[in-house]
Amino acid sequence: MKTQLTLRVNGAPRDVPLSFVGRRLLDTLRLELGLMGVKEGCGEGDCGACTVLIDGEPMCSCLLLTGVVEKCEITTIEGLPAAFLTRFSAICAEYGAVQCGYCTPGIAVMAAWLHAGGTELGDQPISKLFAGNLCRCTGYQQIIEALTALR
Amino acid sequence: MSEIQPPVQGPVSATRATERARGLARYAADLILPGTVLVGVARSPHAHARVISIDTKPALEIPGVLAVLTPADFDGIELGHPDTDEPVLTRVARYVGEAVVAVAASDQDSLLRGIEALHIDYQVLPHACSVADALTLDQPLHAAYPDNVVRRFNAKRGDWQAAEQRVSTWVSGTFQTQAVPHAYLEPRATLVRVNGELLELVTGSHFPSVLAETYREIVAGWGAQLEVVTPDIGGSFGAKWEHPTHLICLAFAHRLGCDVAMVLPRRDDMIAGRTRLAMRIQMRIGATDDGELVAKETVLWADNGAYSAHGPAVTLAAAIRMDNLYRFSALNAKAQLVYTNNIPSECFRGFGSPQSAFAQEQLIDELAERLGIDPIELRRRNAVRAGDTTLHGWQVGSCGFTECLDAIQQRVQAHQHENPPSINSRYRFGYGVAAGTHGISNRGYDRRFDRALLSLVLAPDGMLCIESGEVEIGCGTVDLFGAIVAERLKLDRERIRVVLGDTATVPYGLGCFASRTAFFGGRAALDASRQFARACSHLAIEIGLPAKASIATVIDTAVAVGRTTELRATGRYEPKHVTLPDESGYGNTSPAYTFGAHACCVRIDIVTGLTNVVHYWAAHDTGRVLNLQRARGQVVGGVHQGLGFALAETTLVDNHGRLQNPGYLDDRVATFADAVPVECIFTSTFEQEGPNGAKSIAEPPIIPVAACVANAIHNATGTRQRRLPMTPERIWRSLHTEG
Amino acid sequence: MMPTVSPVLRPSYLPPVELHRPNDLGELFACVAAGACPLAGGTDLVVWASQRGEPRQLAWTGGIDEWHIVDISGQQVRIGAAVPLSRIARSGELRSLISAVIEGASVVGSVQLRNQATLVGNVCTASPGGDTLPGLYVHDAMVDVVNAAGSRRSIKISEFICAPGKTNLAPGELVAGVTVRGLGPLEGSAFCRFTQRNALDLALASVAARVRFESDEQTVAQASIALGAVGPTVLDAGQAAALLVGRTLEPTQLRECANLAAECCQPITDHRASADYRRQLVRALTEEIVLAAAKQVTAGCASVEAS
Repeated sequence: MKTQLTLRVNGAPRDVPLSFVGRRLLDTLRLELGLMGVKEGCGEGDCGACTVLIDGEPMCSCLLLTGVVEKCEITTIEGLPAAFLTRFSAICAEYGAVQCGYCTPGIAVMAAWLHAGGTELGDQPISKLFAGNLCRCTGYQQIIEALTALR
Repeated sequence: MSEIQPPVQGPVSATRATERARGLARYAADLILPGTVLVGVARSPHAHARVISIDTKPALEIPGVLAVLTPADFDGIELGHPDTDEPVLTRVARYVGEAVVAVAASDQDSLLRGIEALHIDYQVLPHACSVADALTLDQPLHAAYPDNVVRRFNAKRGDWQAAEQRVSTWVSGTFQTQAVPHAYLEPRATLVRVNGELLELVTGSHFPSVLAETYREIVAGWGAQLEVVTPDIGGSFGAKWEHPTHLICLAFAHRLGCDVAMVLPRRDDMIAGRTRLAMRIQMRIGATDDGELVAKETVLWADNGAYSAHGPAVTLAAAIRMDNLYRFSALNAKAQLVYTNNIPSECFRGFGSPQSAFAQEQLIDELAERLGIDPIELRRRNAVRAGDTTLHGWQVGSCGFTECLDAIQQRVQAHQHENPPSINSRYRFGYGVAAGTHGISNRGYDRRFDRALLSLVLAPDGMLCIESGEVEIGCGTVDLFGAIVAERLKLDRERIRVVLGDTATVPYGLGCFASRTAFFGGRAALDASRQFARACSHLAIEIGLPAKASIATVIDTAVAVGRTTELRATGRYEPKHVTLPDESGYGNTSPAYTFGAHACCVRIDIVTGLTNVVHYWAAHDTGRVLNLQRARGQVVGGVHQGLGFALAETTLVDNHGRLQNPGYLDDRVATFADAVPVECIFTSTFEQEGPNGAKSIAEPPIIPVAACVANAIHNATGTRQRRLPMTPERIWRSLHTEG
Repeated sequence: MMPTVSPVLRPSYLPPVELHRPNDLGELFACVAAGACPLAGGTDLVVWASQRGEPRQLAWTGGIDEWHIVDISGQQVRIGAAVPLSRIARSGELRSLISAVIEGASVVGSVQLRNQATLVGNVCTASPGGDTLPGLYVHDAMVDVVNAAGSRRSIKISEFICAPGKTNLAPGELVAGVTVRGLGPLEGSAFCRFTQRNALDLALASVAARVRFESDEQTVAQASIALGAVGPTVLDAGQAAALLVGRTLEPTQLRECANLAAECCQPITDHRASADYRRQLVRALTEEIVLAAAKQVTAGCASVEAS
């Protein structure tokens, strides 16, 4: 009988105890795999701080049970391409897009998704695409400016 | 943008911002190690009830449950600042969600089972969830306050009778503002690490040094010592001070002798969190025919919620601070702060002024209309100016208020010119204006002193460490201090490490609140840099370097020859001309004051009442701008919090005192899709007292917003909004009742 | 006063959940028979479980391959129970075939939530304010129900949903998918809702309309209107729609229709809005959305939305 659940996280297989099958992916990533870039803001899918990519698509890891994504490729901010993160963080700093920074990892994951996503959603306004990522500090303007520059 | 001097800090040096954007920042919950004991609480389902009995046995029988704490474990300990009235675990629940029993367990599943297994019997008491109900409730919430009134304030200035005789026109109104949660993204998280007899409290707060001071006294009774470790903090806006969760975790950690942690789920964070004080404000303002503002009277009731926290200070500020914006001849303010069975209130960005601005700045608008004077012109004629001493004792140094008014007038006129009014049956457009003022720190906050300390210490590895109890809550303090020191000492920013709020190493600091940190901490950083440079010169001579050797050279040599310990300096700032305010709030409470004027253009859908803010202008006198992007960030962010306060956010409580909207879904914090274009304008003011001429910008941007939008709604529709939030339904209703 | 023993207000942590991951219908039915609650996207269920502490036994429906199918045959569209909203919302073909459903699906939550939430989940949640429901009503959705014995029945959505959060699903039954009647020639449909925020909000009122014209493209041959968030379930405003039949969409007709829709709805007053305000919203939205549905016939459909 299986005693481990094998997930594919940031390109590598990661074993977690079978007891994590029914736990939130957010908890598995943070508590078991130590991926602290994934943040919990609301636990109800309303803030997007816990956004991860599941087979390349953004989802809220607070609403996903771990067992559900066993066969999927899971990407957290820690697994985003280094060159992308360097550029993203430099632009964020340049445009003043980060204040407390708690929402930023989720926004980074969304930005990476858009970056990789090609043309399908390319013409959608940022304000609509990122509506699932709340920020209480910035009033969004400088994040929008940074994301526009990133595009 | 007005002419401004070049910012001190280029965005390139924003190293902490870069770390955060890479997901490398660590907040309290990120520092919890696997295997840490977890803590949770059972909360009261009643708004007001006496706890009759607690049976912890069924919980303790659950495997994995390690310990349970009850109110008896915290007898004699009450929290609050400066008033102490809040129990850690309560024998009398005074709001729905108050913590009654705490459980510690080895894992989350056992913790939940333990909490669910508790038996708590209550005797339900009559409750009051509004000020009006509390004033007539025959049941005091706190025995020491039989009428539920926590505090009464009276502030009478000038010759009221003489002033009254000069008034030709009065305008008056009663305004109601609501409670709103701070809604920071990082829910409250507390970690306590045990290191022998030392308890390390890891949590983001406004004032680690004060937190440590308060809790040391308590844990000393247990024979323990305490230090506070300050991780990154995911927003606060006035919410994160002392909190029962800290002491619950400290007590468990001490009792169990191991690390414990508690992270609140969002719902719990909102149910048992803190809110802005709801207020009812009766105000009247009198003027002469030629537009001189003469007299202002304020009668204010504030909802304290179940416990005081900063309620008294906020109430006094709401009663008087906004008066300082204009040259009134006489003022008369009365305020009452009332206990209710609502969530405890707390200070929130703006410290009472957004509430009173909502009243005052609408009445100024009404006066302008009645007198036939342009609303900006009326404000300009009466504006406080540099060199004034206001009726409340503020000695105004630099003042760019009229410059702010000029700037928004010019912007609004240009916008009106480019967008001539369109005749449309469904949408109405309108413009509004409002102003605000704020202090920088508050001498009355801590009766002992108001000062900042900042140390520069050369570490053995050659890094220059900035150490201070003046902390960052997301405004960019770390990067600002780093930039100031780097610039003064001509050092690469990469050679500087910033440690804020770790009480074991940093000098005592009052902390980050009252828009004080950049100003006070910035001055201390300048002073520390000066002293450090002097220490470098001395050492340079001793070790055979030229006296004018660069700081970097001296540091490198000191590391090489093992004399790093000689390079340290502590900078200090304590303003000289501030005075401790009296009970009525009279005094020169801040070393400098900030001013701002806002304008906006709104579009109202008269069919649904929906208000769209089409454009927003925010002009601020913040002294010299130290970092343009950061300053903009504070303004745009503050305006959006203000727009939430104005149009959407509220705490909805049912008849039983239960919060109806404990989450982001129904609290309606603005999303990306609700972002409004905000144009920021900074005046050319230079503040002699400030660091490099700067003042502050954290709180001022939220103050005028609700009033500004209300004035625009009136301009568009002819209806006056007296109640917040100005939801589409309320606007629609006012259109249908007023015509 | 008598002492009361009250339930403890528990922290909103997700309780320990036993998650089953059946690979076929037989296994799924066995799990459900053993007491597990079916879990589709989880965007509501996981939140409820955290708040209420139950259910604690879940059976994920994502492992049922045939439930991932979207099948378009002619005018008929069948959407399987495991299909996320984003998949249908991004389909240009579906957008022109079942516009009102897709417009509803496109405004649910956020990009992230639409990747997780399913259309059938929205149906089974049975919220009167569910954003996809008014569209499903005007598109004559049939809910495909199966039981462990393999027998199937198809229930009209208006009969399937019977009260807020309540459906007529019998014990031992599961929803396998929904079948909707797409637009034919000279037909258009549309959906809109009123929210205070521009995103991530719940509708205070919502309306879907479907209009078929005579060959003159002006006279209404058939119309249906469904109202959301203004009654215990989505309401079929049949009388209001009937007013349009045989007429052209003149402003007076539209107003009359909207007024009747506002009259026939049964809104409640709650913490989000009052009953009469909701009525007003229905009035405003109905006029707007009937026109939008009509416009689709002449102007084609909107572009693919983010999802």
